Amino acid sequence: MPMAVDSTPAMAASKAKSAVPHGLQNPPVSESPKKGKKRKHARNDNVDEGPVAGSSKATDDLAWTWRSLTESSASRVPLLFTKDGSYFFSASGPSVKIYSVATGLVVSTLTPAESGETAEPNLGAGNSLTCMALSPHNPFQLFTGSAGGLIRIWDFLDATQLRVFDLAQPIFQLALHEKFKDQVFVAASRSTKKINSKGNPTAEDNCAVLRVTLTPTNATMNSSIQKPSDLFIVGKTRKPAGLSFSPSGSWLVAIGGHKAYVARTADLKAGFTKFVSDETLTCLAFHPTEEYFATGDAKGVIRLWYCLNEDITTLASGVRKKAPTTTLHWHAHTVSSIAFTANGAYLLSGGEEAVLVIWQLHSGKKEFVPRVGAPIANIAVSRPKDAEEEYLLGLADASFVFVRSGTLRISRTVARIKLDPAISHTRPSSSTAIPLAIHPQTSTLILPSSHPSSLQTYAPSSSKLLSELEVSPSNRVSRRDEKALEPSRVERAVISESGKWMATLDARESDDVSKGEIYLKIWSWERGTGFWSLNTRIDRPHGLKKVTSVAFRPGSSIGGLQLATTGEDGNIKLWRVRSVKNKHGEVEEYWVTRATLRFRSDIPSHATWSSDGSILAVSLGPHVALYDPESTVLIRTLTSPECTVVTSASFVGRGSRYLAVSGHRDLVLWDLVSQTVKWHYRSTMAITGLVTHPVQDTFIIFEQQSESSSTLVSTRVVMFTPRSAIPSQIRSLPFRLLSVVPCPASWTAPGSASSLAFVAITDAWSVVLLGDDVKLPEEQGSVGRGLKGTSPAAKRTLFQDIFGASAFSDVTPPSAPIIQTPATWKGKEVEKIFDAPAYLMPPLDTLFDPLMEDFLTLRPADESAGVEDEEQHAEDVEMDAEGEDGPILVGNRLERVVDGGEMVAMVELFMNHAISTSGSTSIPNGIPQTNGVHRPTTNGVTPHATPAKPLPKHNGTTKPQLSTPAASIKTSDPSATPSSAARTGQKRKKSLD
Amino acid sequence: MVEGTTLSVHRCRFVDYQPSAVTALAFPPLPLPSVKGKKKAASRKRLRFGTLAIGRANGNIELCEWTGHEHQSSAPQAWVVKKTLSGPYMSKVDSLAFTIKYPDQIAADEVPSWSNLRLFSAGGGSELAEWDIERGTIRRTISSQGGSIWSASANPASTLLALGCEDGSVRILSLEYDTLTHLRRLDRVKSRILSLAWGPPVPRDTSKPSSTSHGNDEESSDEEEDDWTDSWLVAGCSDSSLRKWDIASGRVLDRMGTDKQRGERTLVWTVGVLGDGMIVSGDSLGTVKFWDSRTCTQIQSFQAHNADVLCLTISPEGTAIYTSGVDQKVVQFTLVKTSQSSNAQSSLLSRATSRWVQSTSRRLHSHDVRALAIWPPYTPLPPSHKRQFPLDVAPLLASGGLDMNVVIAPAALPASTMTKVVNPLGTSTISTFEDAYHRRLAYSSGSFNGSALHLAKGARLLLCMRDSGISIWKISRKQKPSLGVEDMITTEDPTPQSGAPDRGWDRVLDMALNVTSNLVASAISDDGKWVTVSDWYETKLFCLEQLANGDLKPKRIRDFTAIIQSSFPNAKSNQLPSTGASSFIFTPDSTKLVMATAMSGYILVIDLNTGEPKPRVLRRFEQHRMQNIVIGNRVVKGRKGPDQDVEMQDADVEEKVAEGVSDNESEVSDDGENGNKQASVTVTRMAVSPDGQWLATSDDRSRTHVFNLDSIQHHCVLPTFPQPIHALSFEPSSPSTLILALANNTLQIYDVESRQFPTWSRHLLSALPPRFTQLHDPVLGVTFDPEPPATGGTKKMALFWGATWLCKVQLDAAVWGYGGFDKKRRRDGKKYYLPPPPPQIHGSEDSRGGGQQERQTRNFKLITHYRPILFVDFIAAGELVIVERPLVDVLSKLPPAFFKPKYGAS
Repeated sequence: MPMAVDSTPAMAASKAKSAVPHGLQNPPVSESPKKGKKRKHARNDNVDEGPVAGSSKATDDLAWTWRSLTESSASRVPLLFTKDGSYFFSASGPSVKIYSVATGLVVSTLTPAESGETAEPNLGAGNSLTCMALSPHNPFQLFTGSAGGLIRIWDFLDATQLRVFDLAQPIFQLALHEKFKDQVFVAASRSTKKINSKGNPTAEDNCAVLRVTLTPTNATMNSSIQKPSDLFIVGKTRKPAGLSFSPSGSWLVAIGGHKAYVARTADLKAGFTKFVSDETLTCLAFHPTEEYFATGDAKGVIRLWYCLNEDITTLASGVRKKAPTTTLHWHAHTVSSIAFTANGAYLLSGGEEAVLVIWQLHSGKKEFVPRVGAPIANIAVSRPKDAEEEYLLGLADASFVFVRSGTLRISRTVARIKLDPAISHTRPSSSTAIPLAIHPQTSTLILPSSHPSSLQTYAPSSSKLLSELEVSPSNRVSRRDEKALEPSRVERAVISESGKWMATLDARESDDVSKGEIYLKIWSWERGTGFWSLNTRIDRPHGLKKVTSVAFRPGSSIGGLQLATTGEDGNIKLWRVRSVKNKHGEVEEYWVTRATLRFRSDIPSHATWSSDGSILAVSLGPHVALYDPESTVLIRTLTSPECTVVTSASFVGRGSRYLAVSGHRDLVLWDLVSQTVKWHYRSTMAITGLVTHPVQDTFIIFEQQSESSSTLVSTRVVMFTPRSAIPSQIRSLPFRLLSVVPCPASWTAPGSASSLAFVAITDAWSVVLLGDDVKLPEEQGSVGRGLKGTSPAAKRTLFQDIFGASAFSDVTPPSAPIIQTPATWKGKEVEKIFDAPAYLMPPLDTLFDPLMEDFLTLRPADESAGVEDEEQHAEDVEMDAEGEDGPILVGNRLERVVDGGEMVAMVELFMNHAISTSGSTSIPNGIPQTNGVHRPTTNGVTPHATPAKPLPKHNGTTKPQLSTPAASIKTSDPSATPSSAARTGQKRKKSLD
Repeated sequence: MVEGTTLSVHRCRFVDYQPSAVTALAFPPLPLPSVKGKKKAASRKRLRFGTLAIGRANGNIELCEWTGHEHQSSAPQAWVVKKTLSGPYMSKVDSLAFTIKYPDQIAADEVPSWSNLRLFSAGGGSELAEWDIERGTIRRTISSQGGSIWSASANPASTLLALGCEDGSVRILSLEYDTLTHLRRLDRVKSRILSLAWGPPVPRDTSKPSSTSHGNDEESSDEEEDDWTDSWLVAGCSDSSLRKWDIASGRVLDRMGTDKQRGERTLVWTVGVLGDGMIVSGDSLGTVKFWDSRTCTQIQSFQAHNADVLCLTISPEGTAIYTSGVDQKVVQFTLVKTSQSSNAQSSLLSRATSRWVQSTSRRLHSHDVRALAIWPPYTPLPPSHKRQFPLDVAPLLASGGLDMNVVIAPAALPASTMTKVVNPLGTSTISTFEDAYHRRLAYSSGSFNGSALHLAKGARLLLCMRDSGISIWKISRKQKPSLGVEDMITTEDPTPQSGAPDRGWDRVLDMALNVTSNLVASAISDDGKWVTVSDWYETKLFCLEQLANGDLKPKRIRDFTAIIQSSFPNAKSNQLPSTGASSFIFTPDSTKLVMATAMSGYILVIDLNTGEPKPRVLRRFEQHRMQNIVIGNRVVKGRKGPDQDVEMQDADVEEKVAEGVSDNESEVSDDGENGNKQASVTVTRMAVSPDGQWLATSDDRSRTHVFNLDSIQHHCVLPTFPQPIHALSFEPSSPSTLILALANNTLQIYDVESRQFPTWSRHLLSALPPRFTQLHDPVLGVTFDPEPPATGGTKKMALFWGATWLCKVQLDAAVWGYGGFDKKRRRDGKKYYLPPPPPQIHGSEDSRGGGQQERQTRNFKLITHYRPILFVDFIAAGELVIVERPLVDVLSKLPPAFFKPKYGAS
């Protein structure tokens, strides 16, 4: 779907209002030189240029296609599990995303159809979902309520919308209970006043709880949007933060403001009884079995309310109603979400501290899951029938975290790009640069993270967030009343052409407490672990002055790799790698200063390299100085009258014959061969960026509309070729850009290598792909589709957890975990072996060998040293093959009594096995192989074994089910340990021999 | 009206008076209802507030009375000390127990009065003491026969007292017919019995002939007339367990084990039993546990405290429990009804329909809380006989501990907000435990809420009495004249740490005395020559000589005891009442000493200046001992004064209540004294007029007698006031005017000469501003500037003081207070004083209202920046001594309080 669906979230948008939108390099200057003259210049240039290809004269402001890579920010709507606990729902703007619990992937999205529903546009907060609930009668029906006042009923299994009811007033909360068939209780804005410009209802503080009967009025019986036939007002409330039924359905509780509103459902006419709390209540949860509820408030206090009994309704005027409550106080910040576990013994709470607190209700003791990553916005408890309970946390940065209830450890994380620093901190001031880079080796994107001192790695090809790199470690949470510490912000990140080096610059401005810090850090890419490791840290590369640009020298052929930095202290510094051989003969590389240059007293503002790395161009004031990087000799200074202040310069095309120099409103193209200005272009708007195509001779400037203009177009993209000053194309974008880098060629459509594509960060902090022919896989599950086909992976039974996979039944391989956070140390993975409860663990002696094996890396066989891929392949095969002996050995070890039926089955198995292996001619004998005699790669026992063994075929043809244990070894599943233990045990014996 | 007068103030903080920690609190029990369970319609009538007994670490027991009227909803002063039982020196009070002396003589909803109460105390040793409340002495002691007494608890019927002993046995004492005898011993266990609680009594089935269920025949014969039998007893032991005994068999029925930590023994410090048999325990791990008494299994457990739970109390209705202990928190547990979910799936979980939840916790003290008590008291009665209390009055929770103050907090439950609940403390309209303001009862330095400090004006000596000794300081004269400071702001601040000689004070004498009980009374003569000190049993008189270096040398008058004893009637040696005194006063010319004997209530006038070495008793007055003029604590004979009819309207109500009791009183006095019809009273306050002519004495029954010291004759008796008299003084400018201040901050002015309440004072007294009468701390004294600045005629400026305030009042101000107000102003005035004006002593509410009230308010000038005040008096004209004992100094001597800092607990 090439259509741009960036629904700018309301929250982000409103926050962005405060921040001054800014350009890439410099804010637009207000001085406006005479237009006419410049126009003439431009014409003159055109004339100079001579004939112009008419085809490129497309000057229409065509909207450029773009696609957002980021999720809209985290929704406050509580997460919801399906009844079997295999999927969960998360509201995202106007649509509902259905995630698979097993894989963490979006399997389906329920998007309301747009055609002819309401007059309102589908975008914006006006129609975003505010609440969700599962139907108590049909567990496959989902009710959603939206701020636009629509109640939708979905069949999420088929991804179809069943019915829509229009209440015509914003809905905030929704509650259902099986006692009330065809009725739904909603908390809605009481007055149907107009929606204001932001899309928020103006009278949102004044709400009412309504009982809505889900039978349409006769008039709207056949229309797609129906009106409910009956609305009954239970009572007025403040804007409710929660609405819920008691488990028995005899009480309805709403919270809003400082009050808890309680109504008896048997006697709804009596209305609400109000109970007063000291603080603003923020969340509500009902105990699953008993008749009491819990609330969290703005001061971090959790209260359990025991007021649901008969004498509640005796009214007394003038008395502050209070109820007996139990207070649980740990949180110092607002409690954002609370939830009871299914058995009602524990209460989970979370808030801004990013700590999940587990309260044991009967003893008042508490346990913690600290540092879940971001403030907790939502907590949901999965209720699988036969598996371990899991707690699902929706974090403020739109990622999801699963916490196992048995170990209270984070089992997996489902993360998307978390970009907006407003989640944890304020957005940086407009003058700071935003890091954005592309790592060519892995074709991943280096982005700023929600925390300003971190970077994250995102793979657009798989739409996965790969890792997060904490550039400068810092505290994440500060105390409630204290002023938040200003973290150091990563301002720049550049990656060398080879992809081996990354330079980052993080800076923290000095305040009254501490001095400022500026670090230039150079990271090297670790191939093996797939992670950046810090190589060199340079403190204050340009004193405490700002660093204005960082650029790697491309084309590492001659003279080695160099890095140029410019700073406001007037220096231009060149850095290079120095290699030192240490005692052990290993080569250590680190970065040192090579040269420090100054050009008069001008402050360098930008540095760029020619594509072959032979020239360094530095923009300083009105000049562009060209240096020879080898000799650091100033080759030439370019100064043109057209461009009085140079903000950036860029070499155009592969040949780097031209140098595009941009000022605040001027663009000058120098021909370096003739050393003349080829042409000059005067923009009517401020030029905020200059980006050249990496291969072709085209380049782009971004022009920014002045702020006052209220058109939809915020940024104009003007494309040039060196041939003419007349833009070849002009496109427009509806947002401002903070940072732009060109896309690697592999992302664009193969046929159109000539087209331009960019990755950019917008002022609303989303990552967008710009370009005509951006080729990226469509996001999975972004459209609604049925869930029947995609049945989740079958859960392992307890039996399988203990004894491993059955040899007889076909077990589908468990899907790989969604996020592989690359870790340098394997201990973390090994630790997972012990993740299971003690009673589920196999005997300790069987655990020893797999544990040790996890710590000791296999020496790669000599033959497979060449290509990594092959080695990987071979290992896979090896393990697959070994899987065969697993179940059999386990049987022996446990001294299981084999009954008759099983014997028959065994015989059958072996017969089948023998037949099938004899059928595949390449392997003479399957059985001896299990003992590892012919293993090609095991510790070099048979060094002469050929790697070209046709094992994959064997695997593919014969027994797919036997691959299971091997696969689980990879994931370090404890259940797989018996088989691997058996294997290593044997191997060990052999080596002793 | 009240011009700023300049006073120089000695702000004395050097007095190292150390109050004593509160170790026990007790309220009297309520009698058991009739077994037939017939509920009287009047059962929801408001109860009178009962006596609060405060046991202190120095062995003293203070008996406090509620200051409010019967039909008054709130009393800002709450309980004030009416009587101090002076404990034996070096003793302590670890447990206190009230029982009803004759349970059958009291109606089911009546609060027993002093005469029908027995008070037991145990203090660390093996002796249990029973107190004679009237005489203020230990009536009898009994040994536990099992080592130290760790706990004492009376059964709900007030017939048995159980003692938990060091040796692991529970001893049962019989209290029937005002006796105290060992009855039996329950089975011994191998641990200390730290706490005891009686199970709910079982109503005897009266339809059956006398056969009782468990074969406790010998007991049942004793308890023929009361129809409740005790079934079991539960004790908290020191071996991490609770044990339940069967009363009938004396056997341990069950053992309930609590949690242990690191194998250490958990101490079950406190235990309580609810009417439905639920057992509540608090232990040294800070957990509060609920147990089922039938199965002896734990039902609920709360980690409520961070440190030991030392005490608990049960709310009157049995629906809330308050626990407290070392971590200073008072935690409330509430019984909540959980209407059961009708879901079929949860039927397995359907347990009891009510359960306990930990609801609120408050930190009312700065140090360990040792005792909790609640009024009305809880009686564990089976649900069929459950006592109902009026719903519109909040119960009051009293707590006390190492920080020496008793804190009173309203403890209404949040669930009971159907009707407006009155907060009896009047601190605010909110009365739930969670939100209501609490009140701290100020401790008084001396007995009977008096002051332990005395000032010799002429000699500029300040005397302070402690438990077993006295100290005397000399306050030096002011060096330079006081600056023109407006209205009694401090001009000098002699702080103790500025040890230089110019600090303005000197410690001249320290005396440690050999005493039997803690000291009760002391006095110093105006010229500094005589000092007298008394414990409850013996008075000592000292003559002070000034040495060359300024120190004082005391010389004891050896045969003073004999002199006093010789004055007693029928002076047989073994029958003699003790020579201890409850109050002393020297005449202003230091020639005579007036003493009130402690147990017998004689007023002795002793001439010191006889020229002979020996003092001589001039006259013995017995007016305070006269029983016959008292019916129900009120004077009925010899009424005098023009206002008495107004006065008595009020008194009639109390008379009716007390009538039934009066018979018993005479019987009581039989026991103690020589068989005459005389009451044993304690004279608490005495005053001598500045010209030495008049002596006024006041006793703990609020009777006041006036004597003429010139003629040494009884002059007159004042009408009895409903409240104890806290301040008694003659006005210097007109020496026959007697000023009385009562415990509920009301004033009386009496002209002794003319034997009437002067008319000029009526306007003042009839409209005391609420700001004054609703002061939280009761008035403790009144003093006058000896030579007021003679500016305008007769200005009677009185300085009243309480523990936290000073109030300057011009007594004759209201004389020219008429006229010049219009209606509008009056209405405004009314509105301003929104709280209803308190019922006055003179029952007729002043209808003139507003304008005068406003004037009154201006007349009553309050100063609150000295606290806590132990003593205020003028040492000379325009020179005031204010003795302060800052709480910080007192608390700094205590061990550090338990405190655990916690992040996020704000």
